[in-house]
Amino acid sequence: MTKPSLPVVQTVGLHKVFKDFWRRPRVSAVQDLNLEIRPGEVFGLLGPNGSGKSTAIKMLLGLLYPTRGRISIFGRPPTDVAIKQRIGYLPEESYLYRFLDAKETLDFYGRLFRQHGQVRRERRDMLLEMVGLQHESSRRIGEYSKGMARRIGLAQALINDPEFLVLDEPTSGLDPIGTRQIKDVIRRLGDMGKTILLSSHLLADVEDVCDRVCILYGGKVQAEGTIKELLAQKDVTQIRADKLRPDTIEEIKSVVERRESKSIEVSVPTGRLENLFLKIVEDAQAAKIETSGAGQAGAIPDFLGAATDDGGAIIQSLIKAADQDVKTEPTPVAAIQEEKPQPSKKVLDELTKPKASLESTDTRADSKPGTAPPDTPSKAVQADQSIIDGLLGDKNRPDNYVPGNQVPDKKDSGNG
Amino acid sequence: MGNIWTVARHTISESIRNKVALAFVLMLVVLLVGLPFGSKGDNTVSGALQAFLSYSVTAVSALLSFLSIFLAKSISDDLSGKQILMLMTKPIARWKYVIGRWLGIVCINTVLLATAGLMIYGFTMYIASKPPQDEFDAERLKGQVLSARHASNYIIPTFAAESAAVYQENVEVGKYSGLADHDEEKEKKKLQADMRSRWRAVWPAETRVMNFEDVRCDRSPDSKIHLRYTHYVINYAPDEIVSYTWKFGSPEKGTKLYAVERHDYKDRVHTVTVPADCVAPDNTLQVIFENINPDVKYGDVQVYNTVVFERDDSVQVYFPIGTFGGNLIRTLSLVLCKLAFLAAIGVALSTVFSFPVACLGAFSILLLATTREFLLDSISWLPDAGSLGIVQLVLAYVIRAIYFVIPNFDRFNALDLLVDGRNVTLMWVLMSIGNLVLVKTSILLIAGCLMFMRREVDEVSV
Repeated sequence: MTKPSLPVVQTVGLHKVFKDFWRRPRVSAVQDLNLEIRPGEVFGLLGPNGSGKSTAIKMLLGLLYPTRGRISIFGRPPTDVAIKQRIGYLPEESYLYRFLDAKETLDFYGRLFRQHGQVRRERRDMLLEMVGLQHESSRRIGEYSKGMARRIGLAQALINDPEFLVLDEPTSGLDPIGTRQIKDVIRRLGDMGKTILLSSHLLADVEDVCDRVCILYGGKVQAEGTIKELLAQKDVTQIRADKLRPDTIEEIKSVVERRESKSIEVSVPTGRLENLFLKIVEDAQAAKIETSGAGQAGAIPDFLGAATDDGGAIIQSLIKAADQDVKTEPTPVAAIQEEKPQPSKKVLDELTKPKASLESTDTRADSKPGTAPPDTPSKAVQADQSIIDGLLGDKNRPDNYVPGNQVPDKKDSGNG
Repeated sequence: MGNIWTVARHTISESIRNKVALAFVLMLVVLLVGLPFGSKGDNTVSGALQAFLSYSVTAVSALLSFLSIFLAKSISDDLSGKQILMLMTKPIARWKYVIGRWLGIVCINTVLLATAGLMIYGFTMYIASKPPQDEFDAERLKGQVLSARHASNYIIPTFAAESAAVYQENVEVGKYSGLADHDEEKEKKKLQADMRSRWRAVWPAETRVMNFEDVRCDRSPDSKIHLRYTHYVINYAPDEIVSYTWKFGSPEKGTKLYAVERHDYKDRVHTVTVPADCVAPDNTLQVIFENINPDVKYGDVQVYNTVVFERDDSVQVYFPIGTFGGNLIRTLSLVLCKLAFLAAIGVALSTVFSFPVACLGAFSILLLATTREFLLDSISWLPDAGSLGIVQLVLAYVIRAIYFVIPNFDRFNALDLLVDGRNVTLMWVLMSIGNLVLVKTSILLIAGCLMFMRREVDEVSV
């Protein structure tokens, strides 16, 4: 298994020049790419269409050969067949066999990993449940919608419980529910210690799940770093609160003006359309309205993570930790389903019977408190709680204030 | 092997699901069911059966050849449909994928060929169960079609002693005196050749004793052996019929003696059937040919009806050593060798080219391999003909170079023997497996694997 110090992926001076029929260089798809993805990291490869993301990924997987440069995956060249045992890959489109059904598809890929019958069947069924296709598993893939095929694509990428998961635009073609489900899966897999390389041009996807990103344009790296580093807005402070009376607002304004000589902007936030949509579909699923599309996504299969670095104990602890996270510090899905009963209902309520609450312009209701960078807006709210406390006292603390991880972080609060 | 078999299985299920194999099975069934009722031959049962065997095996072989080439496109399909991206990121070596695809095609061919073989056998038995036209038809059906017979050629004397004696006489009479470059061995060989040529020609009232060895057959009177001969005739009569007597057996070795008088048309292949108890216990057979044509004159023309057995296989004795079923299996095994080779061509080409190019390439090779003899014969005179000598010369050498690589499918075609009730030897089958499968198919597959391992499996999309 990978030593913690050994990067899962390392590229040095990677170039890819595509040549024409006469071997003349035609286009430079990737130029001098130096990447390092460390174990357990969720790494985002960002860039507009044609920026070289897929080419880079295909070189990492040995599907394309670099013109110059060196690639090492788990310390081995990408053409090494043995390392494929530890990799899961979802291409930019699900290139599946149209004549197979979902079960047969997973069975076929499971066989390529030499999984024995019982294991293969169990994993297949669990993955089908995870991607919500257990009831559509006997239909030929050719009859599937693009989103359903995408789900099977994700399932096949997980069939071997990979240590390193490469997802090339995993949410393309998916409806908001599918997008949310896949993002949840990525987050959970990240929590389990999987190394994930996520390529996308949908910025929200990457921002929601990645620890570190690299932005490509014209085949060159334009920026690289953690989300925190790249998105930090150190000259802005954000304050969130439940609905405040106009006089309170005025008082806050005056305090800020008096102490900081700065004016503040006050607005009523709107909920996210994503949450509204998810709520409607969840209700429909609860009412068992018939559909030929994908069903409700299930839990992450137990087998995933069973082969990570330090054996079962660590995995179990990770899974438990993840479960505890769900209970105490909910991920966005948990926020909807567990900690607060129907949080998206709350969003709906906010939308349908507005109770003018004083909130900042941040609308990331589903952001994950446990993993969100400290200087993201949701954190910033907590950071500036001291100011609110100072102004209003603890008795005015909002009802939905969750203590614990929201200890003000003076370092990152940016209140200067 | 595990992953190779996974890909092979996948190829099989792909061909079934995509209904490609099904379409070919349907065509096979239509052909095989239609042929027994459609084939008439020479209006005898044995003729109808020979026609059926000939057409059905040819049709099955051709259909499955097309199927082999067609199925080999699965690799170019995977490349163009990009399923290869999913496959090559799984722990399967590229060479195993290529071999797996080939193995899958060979498995499909084996199953279809076995099915076709069973159907051919069934229909053969059905046709053979019809009442024969006459006794000759019945005998021909049983002894010359539904059989696996071995052929022994007649032994032509070497005339070593005779030629030495004549040479000695010539020396004594001083025939070679004064000839500076005269070589004793050469002269003797020339004399021997002359004597052998004279021996092949049987003049009226002459006889020839022909011996056959290694006639290992069941010598019971119920068992039959067949003498097959072809000849040409010098100074033949206007009716083109020649008369002679064949005598079988050597009573001094305790065998029965049979005499058969024949009046045959010249220049054709004829068969005489006699009981096998004319064969001696030491597995030798003596056959005496008597030219009983009278010296006659037609007007001013003297007619001799001299019978000439021109080639070393002009007279052959056939005796049963196996069954029709075994012969059919061996014939179809040779067909399978060809199919395995064709599948390897298709697979190797589709690792590099897209579907239509790979298929056309494989079809061209099939065509070249099938028409090899014909084409090589046609180009042998090309360099000397016409004003385009140089172009034709280059063309001839290019074709020869191509044929150096492409096998001669005629060498692996046992259909003529099967139809003729002649034994297709196991050694032939084994040699074909060695030559066509173990050597040529392996070379093609290795080339295909190497090409596939070197290539990028996706195209640029920037």
